[in-house]
Amino acid sequence: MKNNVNYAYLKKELPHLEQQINRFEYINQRNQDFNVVVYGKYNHGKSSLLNALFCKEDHFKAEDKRTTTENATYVDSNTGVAWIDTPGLAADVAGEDDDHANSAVTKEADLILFVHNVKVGELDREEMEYLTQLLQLKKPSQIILVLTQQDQLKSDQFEQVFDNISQQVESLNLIKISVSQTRYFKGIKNNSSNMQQRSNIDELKKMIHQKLADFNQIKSEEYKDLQTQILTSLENKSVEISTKKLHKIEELNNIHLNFQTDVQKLIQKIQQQF
Amino acid sequence: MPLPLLIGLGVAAAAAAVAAVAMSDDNSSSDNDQARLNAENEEKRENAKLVQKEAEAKAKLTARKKLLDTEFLKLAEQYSLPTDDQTRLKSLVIHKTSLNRLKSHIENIWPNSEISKKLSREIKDLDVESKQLNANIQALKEIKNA
Repeated sequence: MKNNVNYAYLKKELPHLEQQINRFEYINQRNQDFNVVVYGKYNHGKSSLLNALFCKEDHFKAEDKRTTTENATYVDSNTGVAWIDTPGLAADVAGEDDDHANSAVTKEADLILFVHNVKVGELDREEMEYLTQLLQLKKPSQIILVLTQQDQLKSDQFEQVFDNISQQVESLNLIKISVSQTRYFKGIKNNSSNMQQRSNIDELKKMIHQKLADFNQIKSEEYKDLQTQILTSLENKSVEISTKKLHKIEELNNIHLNFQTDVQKLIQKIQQQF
Repeated sequence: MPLPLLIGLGVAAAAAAVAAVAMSDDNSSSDNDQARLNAENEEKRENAKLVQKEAEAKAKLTARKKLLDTEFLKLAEQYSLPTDDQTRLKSLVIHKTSLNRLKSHIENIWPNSEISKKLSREIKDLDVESKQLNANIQALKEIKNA
């Protein structure tokens, strides 16, 4: 898919589409890996979710303090999936962590696991804003809302939180799933398939594999959308420039005509002096 | 008739004739002087007329040059024209037949006016921008076709 599109020029001309152009450029230039980006607020269990998905408890650093400050990528060569762990949102005062996370999610993500820890209750205002912004760039089918640490709440409490969150995201058409990383690892350690099953991690894996199977179609749709969006804006800009050019030509012609009339008047005045 | 009387008559006649001739000579000279005087006066009048005409023509030329100065400066200010060619322009108000050349000469200054240069530059820039945009639109469309 190599081409002669000047991306720097596009970004300069269409600054409001910078993220879309970055993504489009990335799709055109990248390898064929399927990028799964894990995204969410600080301390909501992103790294531990990834560890559960990898079945390796300490693959990605997961602690109660802010540990992930840059994007960490792991490519699974067997499946062709590139897993990207992002820094927790709204944790770094300078906002650098958020920049890393946002860059990964807007540019690299084919699928986003939006992680929320149910222990803190419903999605807060910031999380709702993140989701809304994401949906301006991605299709709902590219986002899975993963509710982590379901084991930390009593079942009735969990159901209440789950219902509330369902209502919050109802209009966003997101797929959601609740998981428990702790229960999953316990299940592995205790060799309890029931516990593993109740953790829902395998169910999440299935969802991700299904997305991987649909990857080409999703990618193709996203690619077309981005292309149309950029093309439409460029064409609008082109019309705008042409109109501006026509106005300038008209302005120049009008001033020139006035000038010619004034010159004629001057000649007439001089003629009267003979 | 007695001779003396005859002689007397003859002398008188001769004297009268001489006097007549003398009188005739006086008249002719006076006429010539008058004609010369008239001619001289005429020439003076003609010269005076000529001088007056020349003075009038000079005054009119000065007025035209002044008018050109004033009016051209007004134009120059209005359209940001360069004003370094005024001597050449002034030479074109001497004769009526040069006025068309004066007109074309001033109109030829137009492309050097700041207004024209500024707008032409803007149009050229927009043209370059438009070409760049269209090249990128084409490239984007070609990816779609690929």
